[in-house]
Amino acid sequence: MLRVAERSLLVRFGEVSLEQAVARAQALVAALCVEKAAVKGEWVLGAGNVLIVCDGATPSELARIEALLAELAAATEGAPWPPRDASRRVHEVPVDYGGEAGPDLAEVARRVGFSEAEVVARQAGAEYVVAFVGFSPGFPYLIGLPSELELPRRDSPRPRVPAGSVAIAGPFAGIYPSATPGGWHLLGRTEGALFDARRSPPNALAPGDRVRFVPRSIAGREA
Amino acid sequence: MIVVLAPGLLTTVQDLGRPGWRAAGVPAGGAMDPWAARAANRLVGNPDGAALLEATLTGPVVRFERAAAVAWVAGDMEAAIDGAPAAGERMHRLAAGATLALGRARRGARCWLAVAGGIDVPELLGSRSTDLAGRFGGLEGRPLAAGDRLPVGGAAESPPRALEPGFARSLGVPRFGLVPGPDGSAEAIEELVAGEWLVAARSDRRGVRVERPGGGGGSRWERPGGGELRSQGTLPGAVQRPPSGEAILLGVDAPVTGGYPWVAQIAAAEVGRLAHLPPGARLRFEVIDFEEADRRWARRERELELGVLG
Repeated sequence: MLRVAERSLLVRFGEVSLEQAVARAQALVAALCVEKAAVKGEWVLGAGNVLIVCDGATPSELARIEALLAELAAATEGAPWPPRDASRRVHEVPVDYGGEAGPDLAEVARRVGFSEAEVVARQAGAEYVVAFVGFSPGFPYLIGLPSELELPRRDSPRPRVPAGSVAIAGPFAGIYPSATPGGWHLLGRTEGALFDARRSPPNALAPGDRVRFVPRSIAGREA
Repeated sequence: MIVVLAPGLLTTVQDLGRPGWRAAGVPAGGAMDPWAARAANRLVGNPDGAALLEATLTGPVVRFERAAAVAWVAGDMEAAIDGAPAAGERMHRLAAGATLALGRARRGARCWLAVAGGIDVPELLGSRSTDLAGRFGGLEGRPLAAGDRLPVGGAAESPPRALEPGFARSLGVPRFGLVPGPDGSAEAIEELVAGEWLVAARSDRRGVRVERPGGGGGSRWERPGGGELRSQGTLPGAVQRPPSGEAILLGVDAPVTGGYPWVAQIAAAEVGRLAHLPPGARLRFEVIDFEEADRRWARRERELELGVLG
């Protein structure tokens, strides 16, 4: 555990496997939700880490929170992945792949050595779990991408990625909730608001949720 | 209503932000310098958290349909009321129909324009601030445009106030106290503290990029131990080192997670100073400890208390 600002603490899980580290981070957040009254603040899940921001805390309160966190973090050892929580929703996300909706599908296919249809079949054939929400309001980082589709980010990010873009980078798949700059490979596009500040909660996908992509079309032809 | 005749370069509605929504990917946002925004609100008798306008480099031209009390703080922007030059950092009473024209920032980069009663746009997720990445809050989640109309809340008459000149000058001091970050090392911090940094043009509310004077990106920066860092939560004021050699000082609208090494953290009391750095400005860092960072926060609160003269 590291103190990273006057009133913030960062807990990192050192597991070599991304899934195991994310499982522990999510388990820690679940434990924090139970201890909400004792931990005055908010937290941010990352890829196997949790940042706890306690802006209102006094130094002695912070010391107490730090001790509680150490205890809760230790108790997450061996947390299972995917999380065993039957109540978690499965979201089906309809996607138009390739063409204008997915301008990087052809290049991704060339780089991984499959046809475009095979890339779509593999990407949509997997089940994903939301690891964390970051980058921009409502942006879900999804674990479950088949390893043969892993590619580093694009060399230079696009200044504007359209809202609803379904993308991959490294071990993750993701969906851009709003038009922002972005460096991921764009495979397709979906509709529907992933983020709506008027809704409670504002993000449609939460950590631990399961996601399946359902091809609707590939390069303009019905899938 | 306030009618926007010209929006300026980038003018948004802001208050003190929306902490509490980071888990949904929403940064706290709010006025890039909360001290300046709070001072502007106090000049017109508003509570600290009232919504106001944050202008960037060139300010807006606005007409007030009803009589209003206004004050603008920081940036030393050229300013005129119905064509007559007017001074910042003090309250002005405007007659119904008056036009306030803010111009170029002559010092600093940003200016906060408060109106008694506050800008009365709807609250979303507990704040009236504009979130440009999420495209919500403020006025339709976007910067102001010509023709926009902004509602103003009701306000009781309050006595005229002015900022103590020393407080106004202190807002933009280009020096930043640093505490160590989670990916830092003694060497990484020594390198930051040695010599001046220069603000690059690609800087905004998400982050201020700095490089070495004359040296472009400077030397490539290697993360000790090497390897890719896993994305982690970040905070405004985080000093990140991408491999290009520059440093990124995260602003209030920075994404809630990031993957660059976080080598140091700016003292909370001084994160707002980032708002006053135009492209080309020079700045320096110094190493402090957590206790000193806390003392600086307490000192700043006292200075704000004493800096608003009524």
